[in-house]
Amino acid sequence: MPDDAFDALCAQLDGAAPEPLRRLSAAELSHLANAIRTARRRQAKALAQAGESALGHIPRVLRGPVRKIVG
Amino acid sequence: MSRAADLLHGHGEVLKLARLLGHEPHELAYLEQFPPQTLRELRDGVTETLYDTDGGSLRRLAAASRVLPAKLTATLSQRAFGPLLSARLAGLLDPQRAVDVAGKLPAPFLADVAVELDPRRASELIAGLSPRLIADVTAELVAHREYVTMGRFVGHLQDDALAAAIGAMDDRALLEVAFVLEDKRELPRLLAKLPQPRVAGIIGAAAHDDLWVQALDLLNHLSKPQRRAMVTATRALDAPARQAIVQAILEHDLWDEAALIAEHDDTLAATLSAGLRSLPARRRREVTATARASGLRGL
Repeated sequence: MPDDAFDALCAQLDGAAPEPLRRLSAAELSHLANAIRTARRRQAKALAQAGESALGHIPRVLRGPVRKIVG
Repeated sequence: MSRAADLLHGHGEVLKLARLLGHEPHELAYLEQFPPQTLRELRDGVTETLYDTDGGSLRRLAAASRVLPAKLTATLSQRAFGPLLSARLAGLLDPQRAVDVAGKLPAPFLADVAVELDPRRASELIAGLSPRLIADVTAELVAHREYVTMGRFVGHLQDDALAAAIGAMDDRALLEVAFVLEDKRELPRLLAKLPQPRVAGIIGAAAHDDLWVQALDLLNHLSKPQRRAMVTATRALDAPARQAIVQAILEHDLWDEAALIAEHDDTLAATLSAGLRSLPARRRREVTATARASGLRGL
């Protein structure tokens, strides 16, 4: 069970987590992996909202080129 | 590094990680059992992950900002992106362009961006900022006691910017920043910029705020002349403050640091001997053996 939780943490870090963290309990490893997952989602959400909000501040004449680049 | 300094550094690493993850430090208290190096490795991994997540979208956003005037990009940073995304974008902009944008943003906002920024990804931008702007942002960070943030930036500042930053820090801030410096090899460079009265000021701040673990850790990383200057400054302290140093040494087993002080202060061994007499016999024997192993003579 702790091995699974350690693997889940490694997956959140896109590869490897520091080996000494294997000493953590399964609950602690899961908490850490969830914290990273939540931070990634929060960042993605902020990015999506920022894109929309930014367009509202850009002069109409520039919105087309900006949309084209941002996609 | 002493055990006490190790614990404080570990706590500092947990603070940095908690900030990165948007958590309260106490929620990650279970990590404080690990050495600072392990926690640093974990934080670096999390930083990489967060910067790589949405990397494509961030790069497109950075590319779009190239067609906009710098002033408009600055407005977007404040009104649409906020400090977190501005920090992520900073390292993706052309450095000169990023410097132009930063120059149009107010220092309080830039300080918020600095808190979120990984300086390794914006080294050229940081190096391009004027000393005046660096000083203004540092003043904001000092006001919010963002010592950890400042400690991450020191290694990326040019000499004139570093001097400006030091000028904006009070003595306590300087001591706290020195303690949490990301790369301790930068300490002699940081201290080399200090006018002599500020060395005494650091010692005064340590005495005033009981920051002797931090001050004694600093000794470990200084050149011999800098160390001599700091020890000389302790001689001007009153008796209770000098007693506080002895207490910190006894309480946290800072014997390597004590040996460094004793190289420049021949009164320390006698003061420590007096302090040792207040300990139970067994503890006194243990401590005396440890102190002698560290090279401290005259106990």
